Amino acid sequence: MIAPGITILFEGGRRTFEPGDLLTAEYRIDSLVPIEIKALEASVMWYTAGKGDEDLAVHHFVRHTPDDSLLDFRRPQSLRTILPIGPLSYDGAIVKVRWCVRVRLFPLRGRESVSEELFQLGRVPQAVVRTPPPVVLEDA
Amino acid sequence: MPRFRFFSKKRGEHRTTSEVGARAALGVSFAVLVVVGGYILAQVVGRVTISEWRANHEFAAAEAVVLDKQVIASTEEGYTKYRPELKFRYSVGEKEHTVLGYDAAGVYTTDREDCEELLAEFEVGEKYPCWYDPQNAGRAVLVRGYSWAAWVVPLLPAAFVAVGFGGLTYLFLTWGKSAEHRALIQQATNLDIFDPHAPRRRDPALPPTDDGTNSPGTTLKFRIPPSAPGWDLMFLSAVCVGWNTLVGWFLYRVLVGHLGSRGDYVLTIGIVPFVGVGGYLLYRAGKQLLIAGGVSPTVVEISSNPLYPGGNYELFVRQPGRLSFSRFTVALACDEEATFRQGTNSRTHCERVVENEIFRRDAFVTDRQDPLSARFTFRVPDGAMHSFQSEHNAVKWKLVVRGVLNHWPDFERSYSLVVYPGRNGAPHA
Repeated sequence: MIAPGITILFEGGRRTFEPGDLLTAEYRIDSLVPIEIKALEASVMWYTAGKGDEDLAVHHFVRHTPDDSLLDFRRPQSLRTILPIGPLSYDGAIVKVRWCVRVRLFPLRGRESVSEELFQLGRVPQAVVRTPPPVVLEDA
Repeated sequence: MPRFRFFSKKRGEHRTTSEVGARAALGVSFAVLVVVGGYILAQVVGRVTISEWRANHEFAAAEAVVLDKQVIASTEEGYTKYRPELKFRYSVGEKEHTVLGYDAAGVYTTDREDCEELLAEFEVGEKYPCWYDPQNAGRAVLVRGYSWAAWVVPLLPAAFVAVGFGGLTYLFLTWGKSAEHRALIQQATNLDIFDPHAPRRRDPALPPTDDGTNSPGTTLKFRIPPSAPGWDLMFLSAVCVGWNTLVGWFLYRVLVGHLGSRGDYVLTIGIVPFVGVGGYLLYRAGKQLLIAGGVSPTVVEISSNPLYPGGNYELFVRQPGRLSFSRFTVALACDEEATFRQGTNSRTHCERVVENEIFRRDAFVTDRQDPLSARFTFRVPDGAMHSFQSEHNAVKWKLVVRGVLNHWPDFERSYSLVVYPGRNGAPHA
């Protein structure tokens, strides 16, 4: 059996946001055959990558179950949240902070599926390892 | 079929761990803690704590004649332990009882002399008060009171039970939940209702500014405390004293051996590298002591805290004391810190990604009447990453004060700064 796919789309294809911006995204389950769903989770979150062990924090979280009578899993679901002031996306030398929308599907039978789409929060430039200190600036 | 990996290995940015396997193993460990800890706790409390409490509160008084006394010895795994034991006779109603015992706890000790001293308080043939169990008149004690063993020892297995129970509860609450769902639960439990900065800390990645705003400055608004003041010196001194005491003891044994014509040449040669390490530690500790004793604390004050990228801030630096400087610099620096597991160890790697010299003065002398005092402006780079702190990763901003002294060891001191996300020196709207 082919595992169902998950598609995540940002409104207007926008992938760069500033703190306080409204993030709007849509996600849907792509499956050729009807599937029974135990739960569907969508998160707006950040996680760290790089040399250190992974840390993560969730900014926005929704969990849908078949008990949600108003929910139709065949239709795309939408997600809206105001983004926080930080942490900003960062591509450091050994510490990286990545923001994403992650959707996790728990089918009644079979393995769970995960899909995530990265986006940029803020405009912090990529870090570079420090070169030797520049020559003196000034004497006060 | 799912594949379980019981061993974790970091491959690039991914870790090859079976989460289910790891959580199941963790669950078994917690369950073992609860079962083993619970069993030991029940044994200690049942046999010692409750017995002692009942002897003090429920046992009835009677009079006993001591018939014999001895120290009981028991050897287990090569260790011999002792407890006092008296043979005594007492009457309850018409019936006489002859029993062996001393106190309700019946705890062994490793000190035989202690037991003999306790027994010395009793003479064979003499009468002493005793207390018997009304529910079982054949059980009695000659000594009442409270022992540490009955009330402190149970704390150890109780701690095991508490850790195991807490772990099982956490696993139960998070079992079958995604990493995001678990993170959300953890974030919720991390909130501290007594923390005045709780709303800020709802965003777990921005460190608080407490350290930089607790102390008002005399020239500018805040005085910034040095990072880890004195800890380096204390740690180094403790290691130096500990190491050299140990090495010194071995050295003494070696010397005594050689003087007594019983020299151990293997030990003599083997101790040389340890003496070398001890010497190096002495050199490092001595240097730190010279800096701490000879260079007064540097006063650093700042006009604002937290800082924002693109902002200009005033800084005041004062270096008192009689010193001859070859160079004195202040730099604005940013370090990335990553903590990771390597086998069973946890290691932290630090990488400096920003270091801008913001002040420098060459070849000058200070004294008590004329200390180095400098007030200047510096700028946090536009678009700089803000301070960031999570469990295993951090971005830390700091001021680094360095002094190169003539005829004295160089020194370097750090002062933590907090940079929050923003633009042009202002927070994000």
